[in-house]
Amino acid sequence: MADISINFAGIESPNPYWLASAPPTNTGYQVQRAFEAGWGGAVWKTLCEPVLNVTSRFGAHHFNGQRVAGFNNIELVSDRPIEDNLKEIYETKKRFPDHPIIASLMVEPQRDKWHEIVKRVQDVGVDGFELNLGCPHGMSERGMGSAVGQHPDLVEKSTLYAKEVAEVPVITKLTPNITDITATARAAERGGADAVSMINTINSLIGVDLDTWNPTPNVNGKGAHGGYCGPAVKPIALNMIGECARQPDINIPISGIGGISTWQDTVEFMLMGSGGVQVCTAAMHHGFSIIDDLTEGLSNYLDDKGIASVSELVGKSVEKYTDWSNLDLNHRMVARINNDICINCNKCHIACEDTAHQCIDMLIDENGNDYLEVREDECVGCNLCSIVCPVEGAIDMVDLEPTEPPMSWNNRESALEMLNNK
Amino acid sequence: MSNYDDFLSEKLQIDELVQNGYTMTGSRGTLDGDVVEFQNKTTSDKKTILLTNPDSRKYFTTLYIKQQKQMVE
Repeated sequence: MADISINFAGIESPNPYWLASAPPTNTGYQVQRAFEAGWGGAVWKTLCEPVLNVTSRFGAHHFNGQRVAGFNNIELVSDRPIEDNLKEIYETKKRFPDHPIIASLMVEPQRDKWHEIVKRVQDVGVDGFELNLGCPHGMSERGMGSAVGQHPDLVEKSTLYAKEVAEVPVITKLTPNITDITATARAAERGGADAVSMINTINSLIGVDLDTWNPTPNVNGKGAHGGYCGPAVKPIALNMIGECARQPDINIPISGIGGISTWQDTVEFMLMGSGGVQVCTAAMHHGFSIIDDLTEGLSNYLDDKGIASVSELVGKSVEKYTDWSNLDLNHRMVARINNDICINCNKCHIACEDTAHQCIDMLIDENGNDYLEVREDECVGCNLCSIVCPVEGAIDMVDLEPTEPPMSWNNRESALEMLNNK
Repeated sequence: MSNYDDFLSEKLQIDELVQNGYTMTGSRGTLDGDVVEFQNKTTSDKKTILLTNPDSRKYFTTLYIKQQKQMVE
């Protein structure tokens, strides 16, 4: 059986699944329930000067019958006195010494503030710190969270201040509400971070009620932007992780966060460079018991692949993630319709005809039966038909044998430069 | 005409020029496509073609890269 334990930036964990800093890690009661259920570690809900919260706090984006495709919150950091949190962290750590507890911290970007909170929290025996430089709502209006995390210089300073007194690893949590997350990842590394975690939540408004015209979620008729997470943000998170992982000058581990709901998501995040993952929305939607599926599925996958340790997955797809200008312009892929499986719904034809390249014909065979066929010479291999097809296996995207050697845009530009300068 | 037929037509122009002793001497991208200049190695005659089809614009640069590789080899 494969080893699914990890050592993330020096923090040992029985599995790669940590609960992210969020409502599920608000109290010792919850974190202990999570550890009993099998979660590897927990990032405690952010400690700060205790805040005041509002009702309501959460909103969800349901799409086409799928509950909680995306999730939004306007809840702030911990509203409990720090001493209550520290007492519960201590008790939880005593009961579960092998499960790491990472304390999420947030203060203004000032040396004395970071020193005070780091020293006070590490005395109870946490395994690491996560600096919350990403919370997009509420706290950012007070000069914390993403108000800090959007400025590389403040990310570097905050990390440096925490590192000056931290005796355990420091993970800097980054905001996605920025044009280029590699800039803040580099800043965290310059500040001495032992790791980065990403992504925090994305600025969002879930919707507007069609009868009351109130924003959702609303507080007595008014709304404010919140943090978006859940399955819908996974592609955004995966890209940001991949972008950081592939930079040769970013060399610290990445804790992956953003819509991880299944063991398959976990594998994808680890392949793209995450040394471990953090989960929140899936636990809020389905409860702590989903950890059974997450660990079992991951373990079975590794066994099926003959991989001894989950750590062997980390970063294995990073070298395949590159700039568009390095992709092969001469690669050819086309769609092929399997008429044995196709139900003739014609969605592929409509999609191709209306919005792509008009290369799927509706035909009638010699027995008078309708069928669909791709004109492969005209097909650009865009994938749209296979994406809209409702039947698994009805359309294959097939790589054609290359007729020309690979040529990227960069190769082409170099060749044209040579041609024009000879 | 289909895109593929456009490609075949423009590819044919390139291949015929090459077969008749022309080599590529320059290229510039324009809003209408790629303008590619050829010159005959023997007669010094110059020809210019406009390639509008994306596959033929890939094709002529691939051909040029292959020619450069052959020269090196």
